[in-house]
Amino acid sequence: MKVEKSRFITEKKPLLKKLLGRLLEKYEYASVLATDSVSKDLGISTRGTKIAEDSVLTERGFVVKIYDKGEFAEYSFNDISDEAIDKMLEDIEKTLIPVNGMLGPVEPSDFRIPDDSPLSFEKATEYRISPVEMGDEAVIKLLSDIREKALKVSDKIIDCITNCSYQVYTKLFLSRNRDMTQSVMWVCGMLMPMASENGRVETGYKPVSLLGGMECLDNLAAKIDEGCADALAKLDAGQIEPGEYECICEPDVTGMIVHEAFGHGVEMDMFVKDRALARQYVGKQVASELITMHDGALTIPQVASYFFDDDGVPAHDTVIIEKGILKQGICDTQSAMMLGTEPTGNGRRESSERKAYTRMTNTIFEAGTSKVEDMIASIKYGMLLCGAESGMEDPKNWGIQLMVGMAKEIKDGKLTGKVFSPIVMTGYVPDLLKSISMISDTFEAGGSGFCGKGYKEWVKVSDGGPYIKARIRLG
Amino acid sequence: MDANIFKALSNAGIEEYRITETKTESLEAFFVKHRLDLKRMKESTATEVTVYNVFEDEGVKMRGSAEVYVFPGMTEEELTAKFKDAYIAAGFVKNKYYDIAAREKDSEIKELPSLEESLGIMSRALFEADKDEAAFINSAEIFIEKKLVRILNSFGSDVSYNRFVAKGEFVCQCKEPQDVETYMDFAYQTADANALQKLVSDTLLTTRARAMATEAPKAGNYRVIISGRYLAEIFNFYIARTSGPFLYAKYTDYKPGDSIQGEDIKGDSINVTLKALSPFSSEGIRMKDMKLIEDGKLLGIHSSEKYAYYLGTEPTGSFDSMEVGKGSISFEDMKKAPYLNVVNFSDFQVEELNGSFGGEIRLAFLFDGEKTIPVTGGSVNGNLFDLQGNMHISSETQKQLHYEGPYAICFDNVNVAGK
Repeated sequence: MKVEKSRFITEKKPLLKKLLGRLLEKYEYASVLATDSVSKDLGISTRGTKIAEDSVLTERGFVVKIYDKGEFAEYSFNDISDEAIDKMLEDIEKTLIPVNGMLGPVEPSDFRIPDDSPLSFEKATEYRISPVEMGDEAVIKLLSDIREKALKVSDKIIDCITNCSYQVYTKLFLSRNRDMTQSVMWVCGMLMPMASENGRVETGYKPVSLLGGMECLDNLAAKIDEGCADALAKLDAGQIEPGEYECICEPDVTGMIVHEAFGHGVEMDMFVKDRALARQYVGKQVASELITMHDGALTIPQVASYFFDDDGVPAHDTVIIEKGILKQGICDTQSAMMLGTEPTGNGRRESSERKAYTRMTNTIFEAGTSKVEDMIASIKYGMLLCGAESGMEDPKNWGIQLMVGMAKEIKDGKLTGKVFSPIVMTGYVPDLLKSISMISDTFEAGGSGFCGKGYKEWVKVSDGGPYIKARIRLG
Repeated sequence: MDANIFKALSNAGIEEYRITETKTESLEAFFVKHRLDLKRMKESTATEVTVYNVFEDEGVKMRGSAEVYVFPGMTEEELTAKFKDAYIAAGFVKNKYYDIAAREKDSEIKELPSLEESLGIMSRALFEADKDEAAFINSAEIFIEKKLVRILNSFGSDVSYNRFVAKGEFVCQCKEPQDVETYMDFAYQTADANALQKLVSDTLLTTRARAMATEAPKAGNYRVIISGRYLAEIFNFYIARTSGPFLYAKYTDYKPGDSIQGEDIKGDSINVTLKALSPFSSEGIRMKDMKLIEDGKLLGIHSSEKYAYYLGTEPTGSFDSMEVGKGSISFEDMKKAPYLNVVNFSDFQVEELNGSFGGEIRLAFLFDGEKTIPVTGGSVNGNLFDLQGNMHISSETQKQLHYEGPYAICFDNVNVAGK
C-alpha cells in the first residue's frame, strides 16, 4: 500500500500558495517547504517501558527560502494563518534582510537564482503493515517477548533493551514552477542485550530497518542469540595489541567505513569551504579497483529514500567511486552554485527549523565476487571486525576514527574464538581503501542510526555493502 | 497556552497530565570565511503533552505514560483523538506506580537581550579575533536563541522561565606547512564577546601547532595527559553512573558513602557538584546545586521523580552542568616527566557501562624527557575502571557552559595505537 498524504498539508496548501505569492511579489525567487511528520519511539528495558513521539522527528513546520540581491535568507515557523503571513513578511523585511549591517565587515554572497524548471508530482513509498494497524499494544508485546527470551539466554544477561521507532511524513515543496509532494514511511527496530560479570557490563547490538512498515520487525527475534553471544563474548575479551592487521569487515563495519571514512569527505559543501581533501582527487584513484561506491535517495530502498530533497531537487543515485576512481561528490543547491556544478538531491534538513546542508542518504559499496568463507580462509593472522559502533569524519585530512564493538581473531584461515574489545580503527582513508583485496558476493545495508554534521544536524541515513578484506590499523 | 489543549484533555477523560510549552525565537548566521552564506530567522512553538494512565496489572499498581507533541493550529477534535490514543498507549506502559508531587506556581522570567544586537556582538567578536598571520577562520555558524518555557501539570505545578543562549561553532584552518583544521563549538548564557575572542585566538594557536605535526606517536603505552574540553566527558562518566535510571536498572550498585574510584586511591580523589542551567527541571522541580561526590565518596543519587520514588531517594531533577574540584598538581609539574598530552581528538568518547574511553589523536604533544614534538594520528584507548585509582588532576581550571573544573588530567600506562 502507498503511504497516505497528510490531510494537514492538503488543507494548508492554499494558504501556503498564498504565502508564496506574497513572497514572489517582492523577491525574485521564493520557495516554501512544508512538513507534517509523526514519529514514535517504543522501547522496553529494566528502566521501564516507553511510548513517546520523537521530539525532533515529530513536527508540523514550514520554512520559506528567499533570494534577495545575490543572497539567500530563510524563515522557519510553525503557525500558518493570514495574520502569521503578515507578521512573517514584516519580520523578513525589517529584521532578517537588514541584519547584514549588524554583523561587522562581512562579505556579501553572489548567488544566482536556483533552477526552477517546472516539476509537479505526488509520490509515496509503500508499506505492508502500518503502525496504526499493528497498534502500540502489539509492538510492546513483541518487544517484551524478545526481551524476555534474551534474558533467558544466560544468567549473565542482566537486561536487554528492545526498541522500535518509525516516522511517517509528508513534505510539500512549492516554488514559482514546482509543486511536489512526497509521503514516506520507515521503521527501525533493535535489541541490545547487556551482559554483566564482576561489575563489568558489555553490550551486544542487533538492528533492523526498512523503507516500509512494521513488517520490518519480522526478523528482529531471529537476532536474539547473536546479540546475546556478542555481549557475553565481550565479557571475556582481551585488549588488542595495537598495530596493523589483515581484517575482514562485516557489512555493517563496511558501511561505517563507507559513510564515516569516505562519505563525509565527498559532501561538497565541504569543497566550498576548502575542508575536504577529496576535491583534489576527483578523477584520481582513491580506492582499490574492486570498489564502486554510491550515495543517493534512489540508490537502495532504505530509511533515507525520498523523491525530492529539502531544496526541492529530485532524488538521485550518484556513483561516487567507480572501480577505484573518484568520479564526483554529492551536493546541495547552494554549494552546487558556488562550485559551478549540479545539485545531486542531497540537500537535507534535520527539521524545518534548521538549514539544509549537503548530507548523505543511502551510502554503499557494491558487492563483489568472493565467498566470505574464502575471505576468512585467506588470512594467516588477522581479525574479523564486527559491530559498527560510532565514527567521526575527517574530510580535511582523511584520518579514520571508527569504534568497533569487537575483533574476532583469525589464525591460519580460521576463527580461534578469541575476541578483543573495544576496538578503535585508525589510519589514512585512501591507504585503507586501496588495501581492499577481496569483496564478498553478499550485500547488506541498514539504517538504524542517525548521522550528524559535526556534532549536530541529525538526519536518518543508511549504509552498507559487502564483507571486505583490507589492512587496517587497530588499537 | 492553547485553550484547546485543556478542552481536548477533558474530552479525552484524562485527569493526570503534564504540559511543557516551549516558544523559541532565533536569529542565525552562517559564514564561509568572512562571506555570509545564509541568514535565518525562526519562530516556533512546540508543546509536549505527557498523559498518565494509572491502572493495575496482576494486582500491581502501575503508572503508564505516553508523550505526544502538539503544534499551533491543531483543532480540538484532532487533539482529542491524539490524547485518547496516547491514553490508551499509556495503558500498555507497565511501569510501577510512582507519586508525582504537587508543586506551587513559580516563575523566573528575565529581561533578555535583543537577538539582532547579540548576533552583531558575536559576529564582530568572531572576526575581530581572526588576526593570526598563518591560521584563519575557515567557516562559522552563530545561533542566538531565546526560549520561553512553561511547565504545568494536573497536580498543581505551573512554572515558567526564559533562557538566552549565544552558541555556535567555527573551524580554524592553517595551510602551511601542511593544510589542517580544528573544529570548535561554543555556548554562552550572554553574548560574551571576550570569551568568544579568547576561544578563537586559542583555537587558531592550536591549529598552527597541528600544522607542524606530521608523525603519529609510536604504538605503545604512555603516560597520557588529556586537556581541554574532553575533561567534561571524563567526569560525566561518574555523573551517568550515579543517576537513578542506572542504579534502578542495576547497571551500577553504588550507594551513598561508596568510594566511587575504588578503595586503592594513589592519585587525586574527585569532587563533583551538579548544577543546572535552568531554574526548573522538566518536571517543574526548583533546581538547586547538589554536591554529588566529595573526596571520592558518593554523597547521593540524582534522579527524576520516577526513579527517586523507586529507589526511595529525594527527586533532584536532571542537571546539565557540573563543577569539579581542582586537583593537587599544576599542569607544569604534570609535564615534568615524559608524557603524551592530547589537546585535540577527532572525537572522544567514554563508555558509561564498561568504562572504556578513546579517540583518534588530531593533535598531541609528545615529551620524551628531552624534547617536545607535536604529533598527529593514532588513538588513545583506556579504561577508567583500570585507571581511576591513579589519576592526577590539574590545579588549573577551565570554564565552559556545562563544565567548570580542572584543565587537565593525567593517567599512567595508557594504550596508544600509533605508527
